[in-house]
Amino acid sequence: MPTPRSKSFLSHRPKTSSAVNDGLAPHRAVPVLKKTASQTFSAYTDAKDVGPQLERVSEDRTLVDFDSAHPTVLSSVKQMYHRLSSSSKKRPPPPELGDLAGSAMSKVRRSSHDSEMVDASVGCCLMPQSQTQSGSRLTRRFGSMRNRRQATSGPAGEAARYNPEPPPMPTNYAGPPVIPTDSSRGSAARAAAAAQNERLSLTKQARRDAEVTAKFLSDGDMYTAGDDVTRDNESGVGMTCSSPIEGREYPIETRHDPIQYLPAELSTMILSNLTAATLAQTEVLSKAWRAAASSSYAWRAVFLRRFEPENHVSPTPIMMGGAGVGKKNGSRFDPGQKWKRMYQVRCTLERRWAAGTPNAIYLNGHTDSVYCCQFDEHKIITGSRDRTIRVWNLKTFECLKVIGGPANRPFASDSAPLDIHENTVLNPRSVNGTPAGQKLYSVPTDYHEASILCLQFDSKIMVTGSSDHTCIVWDISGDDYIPKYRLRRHTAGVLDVCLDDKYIISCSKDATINVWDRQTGGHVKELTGHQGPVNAVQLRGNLLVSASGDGIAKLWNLDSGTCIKDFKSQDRGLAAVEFSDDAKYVLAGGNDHVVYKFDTTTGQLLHTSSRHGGLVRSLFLDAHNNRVISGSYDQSIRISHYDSGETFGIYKDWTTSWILSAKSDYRRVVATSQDGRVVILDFGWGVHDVHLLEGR
Amino acid sequence: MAATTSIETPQKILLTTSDNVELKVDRDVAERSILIKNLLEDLGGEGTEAIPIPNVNEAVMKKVLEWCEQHRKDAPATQDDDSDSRKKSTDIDEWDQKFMQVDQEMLFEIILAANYLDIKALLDVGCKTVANMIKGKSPDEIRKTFNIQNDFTPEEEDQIRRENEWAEDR
Repeated sequence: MPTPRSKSFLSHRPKTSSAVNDGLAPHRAVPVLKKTASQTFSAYTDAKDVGPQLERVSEDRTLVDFDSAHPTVLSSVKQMYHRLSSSSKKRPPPPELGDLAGSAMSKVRRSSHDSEMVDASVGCCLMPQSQTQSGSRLTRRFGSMRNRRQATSGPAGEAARYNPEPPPMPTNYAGPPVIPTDSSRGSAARAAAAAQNERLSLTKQARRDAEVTAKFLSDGDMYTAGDDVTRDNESGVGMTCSSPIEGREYPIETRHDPIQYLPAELSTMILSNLTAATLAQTEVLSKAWRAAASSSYAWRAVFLRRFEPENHVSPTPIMMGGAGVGKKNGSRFDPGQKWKRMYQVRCTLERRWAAGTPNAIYLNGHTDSVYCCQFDEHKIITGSRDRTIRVWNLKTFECLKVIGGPANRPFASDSAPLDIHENTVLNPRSVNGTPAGQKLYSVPTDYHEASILCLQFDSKIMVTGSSDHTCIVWDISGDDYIPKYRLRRHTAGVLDVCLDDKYIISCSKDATINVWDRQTGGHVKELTGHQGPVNAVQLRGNLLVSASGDGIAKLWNLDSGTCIKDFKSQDRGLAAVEFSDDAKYVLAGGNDHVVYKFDTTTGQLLHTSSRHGGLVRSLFLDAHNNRVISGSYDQSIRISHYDSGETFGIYKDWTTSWILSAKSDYRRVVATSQDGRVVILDFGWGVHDVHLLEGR
Repeated sequence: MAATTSIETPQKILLTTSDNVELKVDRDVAERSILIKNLLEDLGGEGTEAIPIPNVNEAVMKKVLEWCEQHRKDAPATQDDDSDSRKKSTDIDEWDQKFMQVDQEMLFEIILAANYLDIKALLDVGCKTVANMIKGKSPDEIRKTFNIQNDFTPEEEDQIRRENEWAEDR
């Protein structure tokens, strides 16, 4: 099915150069996506088929008028006692929150640096050959720092803006409702009351739905009499054109307030089907509605429908960071959480992502390029060219552990501190060389004697891959990280690893991918086919994607060990790959400086992102929050919409060198750089109640 | 079991509604109601006795049974579909939409009956139908739709609106 790239062509193809690509276009004609007949869904015809049977069944039943003791009478009497008041005078809608996204985007200026910062020997695992023309100018600072966006919408301002303290309720709250003097409005209330009276006297009559509907249809405009809403021209709300639902409205005597009519658990069940905007809006309807619509039960459902990540494949992919959906015990959410407030906090975070207003936190300690990172709700683990692994506390931002060989203990550095972004809120000094720093350092029984290029962990194990050609599998279930075994087979640096319940996958500069048994560390199989270094792998169920310096991303069936499909870059090598949780899409980026999105099934290229100013070194997909994070040698972290590919945030020069990895969760990006630092772009810094979203 | 029932005439059972009407219905149709299903299982035997449904009158019961008839082939409800039903949008299939085109009182009575009879899917459709009547409307339109009496002062209403400004669709 996939058209294999011709051998002869490939062998002439420069791995990562921008060399002309001639005959490429004809080869890569985009396949036309065909619509098949099977896509036509036929639920309706099913329904029609069953129709006749229904009529037959209902004929069997005796028709008897039902009478008197109808329970709804009680509820309508209850409604009679309900105080009538009217305050439907319209006010203009509240002012919109500023179009922050728009204004912030226009503020993000691209820094105009012209230097090509390259050191091929440092970026050893990817080594774009085309960039080796310039020398090593690693420590060069960029004049572009001054071009940074001003913090006009700084953290405090943002937080205050999105977390307005509601003024207290008026003290006359409990006072008697004002009887309106406006005669037409009074008449609406009187009409309603009269209708209720009429209803009471009508209860002896059988009210079959068909009759009522017929009556309504023949007398459709009766409810508009005395209706003040239609006279409201000021608010600009068009009452007569709102929707087809208008035609389905009921005569006034058959209309009931569901909150009054139904028990609380059923009315909240209704409300839980609304969107947050509509649910919040219904609070103004009446006091009873306010009580129901602000209930935790309704908001819980609305919150979880929007924010709870869906799980598509088994085993569940490892969660980056937190889900931001509150406290959970196993699969059950804790009772009594402030779901409405949590929804509000999530909205605040979303707006800060859109507005591009994070705060920066720097983690100092590594003494060389930080190649890889992963984080959960509590910790960040990073691996570096300085041959150590560091564990950081995600709450306090302290370094908790440094793991490495005896020769790799860091010394106190006397070099000037690196530049920080003006939105920085924390930049704790490294404790290297201090007594406290010495205490953090531990030398395990086994360690890498070369750069840590990649790592992945879950709650039990961590796998690190190194340019020493091996992986070490660590038991991290306890406080100490204990090396369990090494995975030896690759003949060059291990560039990426991933794992699930069963397997550990490693890929290497030696162009192979190895599959290992997670429990035993035994070798399961080798996947060959790539013609260049395999820079990245990702696993979803029994499918695996890999991206190679040969410019091809491959989809593999893990069970059979065969390559199912190829996804080709435009010109040059691929450095990073992401596989959506539902396995439907593959994202890949590399030396074309763009991010490609492919359809896994058809292999079709769906879109290509806007261009980075350098190699796309790192990709991270947060499908549930519709974000793709790409990190580049152009020193920028870009944030794009997953569905459209449109870039809405560019964070350039928050570090002083290449971005080597960047990952995100609901509130932050954690990125690592060649300058030896970890930078956290925290969109939740200073946001009131953001802790409510945290799990345990 | 399934094979034999499809060949033979389906077993009939009797239900007595709150207004003392006896309704004869196919057992598998009635068993869309978990309440009735459990009752029948508890009673055992042939089920020749009429089952009293004291909370539902005949008109509503017939409507409910019409729905059960339409959905007799649906997969049985699971106990823990909390998250599943949450994920679903407020889309309602076409037949159900038509079925729910009844007056409000009947609609609410169907919801009450579905809750009492423990027919999760019908309860869900009923709740979604009401939710759809709320959606896309201004507060005044919603008040009009359900004849809701506003007992807030304009100041109070304004206050609540301001408190909830954050939730507005952007």
